[in-house]
Amino acid sequence: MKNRNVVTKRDILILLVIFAGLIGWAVITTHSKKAAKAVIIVHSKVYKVVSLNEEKTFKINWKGKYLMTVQVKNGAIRAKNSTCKNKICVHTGWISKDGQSIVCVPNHIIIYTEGAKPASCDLMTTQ
Amino acid sequence: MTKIKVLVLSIFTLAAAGVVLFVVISKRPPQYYVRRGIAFGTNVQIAYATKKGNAKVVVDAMFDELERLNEIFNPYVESSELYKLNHSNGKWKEVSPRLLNVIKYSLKFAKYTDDAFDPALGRVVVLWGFNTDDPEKWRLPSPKEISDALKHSGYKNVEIDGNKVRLLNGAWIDLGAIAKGYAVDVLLKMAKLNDPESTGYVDIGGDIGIIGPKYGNKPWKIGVRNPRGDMNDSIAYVYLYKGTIATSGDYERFIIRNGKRYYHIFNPRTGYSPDNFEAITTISTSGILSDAFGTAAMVGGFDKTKKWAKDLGTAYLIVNEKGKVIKSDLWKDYEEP
Repeated sequence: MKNRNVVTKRDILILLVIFAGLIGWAVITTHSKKAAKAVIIVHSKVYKVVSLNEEKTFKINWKGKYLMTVQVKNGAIRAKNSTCKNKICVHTGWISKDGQSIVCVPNHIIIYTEGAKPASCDLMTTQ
Repeated sequence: MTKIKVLVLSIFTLAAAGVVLFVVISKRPPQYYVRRGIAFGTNVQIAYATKKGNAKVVVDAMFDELERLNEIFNPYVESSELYKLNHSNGKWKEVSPRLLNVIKYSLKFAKYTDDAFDPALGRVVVLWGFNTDDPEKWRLPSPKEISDALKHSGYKNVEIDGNKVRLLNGAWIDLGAIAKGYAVDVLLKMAKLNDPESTGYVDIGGDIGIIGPKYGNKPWKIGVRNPRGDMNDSIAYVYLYKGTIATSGDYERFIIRNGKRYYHIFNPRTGYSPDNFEAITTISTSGILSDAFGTAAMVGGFDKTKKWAKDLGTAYLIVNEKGKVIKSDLWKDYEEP
């Protein structure tokens, strides 16, 4: 009969397997990324959430009025066209990193990314 | 159980606990309630974390406050208090304590900067069309139009008696160079009033105020926009645990005529935009100062900026008219986390 009070190779193997499993879980959990997506806010309400992993072009309409055309491609999003006069949103170009945003003040639209790579800074000071 | 078995099991338990703890700490849920929105005529983002009450309630109250401030300070909305003051035909008009305080501050700053800063250039701003978001309305006025507008401008036309204000010579007040900074101060005060230990930031159209360090002990990394780059192109970074930062520049509201750039900041003496800098970013303890300082500096030029910064304890980064970056010594202190 085996002596149950002695640490056997089998015991160590089981412990090692459990420990390896824990390490694997830790690595996967800490390195797992949320799917990159873009949140579109119109007039303070979430209008749409789109995955940045798909390719599509769509229009933003608000209360029956066309405001903006948005394009998603290669993990990035941009305002392709807008009814606003200053076109600051269109000139912003593509955004693909967390912390970046496209803002159209006249049309009350904000587009920002979530779960993407972080931008180089938390915030940006502009005029 | 043998001692060896107890030892092995203890080590295993400790190691396993270590792994779990590491994961829990590194994956802790975000502490910040973040809200983005259009308010005060610009893009606003607020991040707030507090152990007192609900962060969302406080941030929502901040956005409501911005709506109230807009109803005071937006001179181009007929319902606003400032619009009504500007159209009071030279009569004494009682104003709210907030409007009075900001007008008083702006007059003090105008005197301090030897007239480089002037809150009563509304006529000039409207003449150039920079009061609107519509680039089709931005234009180069004739020299006569400009000299006429200047006759109805200037902070010396603003008189205060108690809580009443009178505007002479048809002058119009435009607090665009100072109102965002004031709003930053108001929101910071609200955040700290709720919880002195709270952290986060307020960002009102690029005028940023730090409520407290990120997660309580880390600085917020802030990029300074390249005045000749795109929206997300930074030319420098600073790390702020507290304080405010604001930028004035020539790159958002501008027109180019005959190869020359004209933008929304004006020299009160000429009625034209100055040529000193492409942009200046200022760090100080107060949002209203950081905001006003930039406008005064764009008009005053480098030597005056240097002197004012020394007097007022502000840090600056200038991109001069040739695109050269000039940093004050104090600015360099913020470049390391």
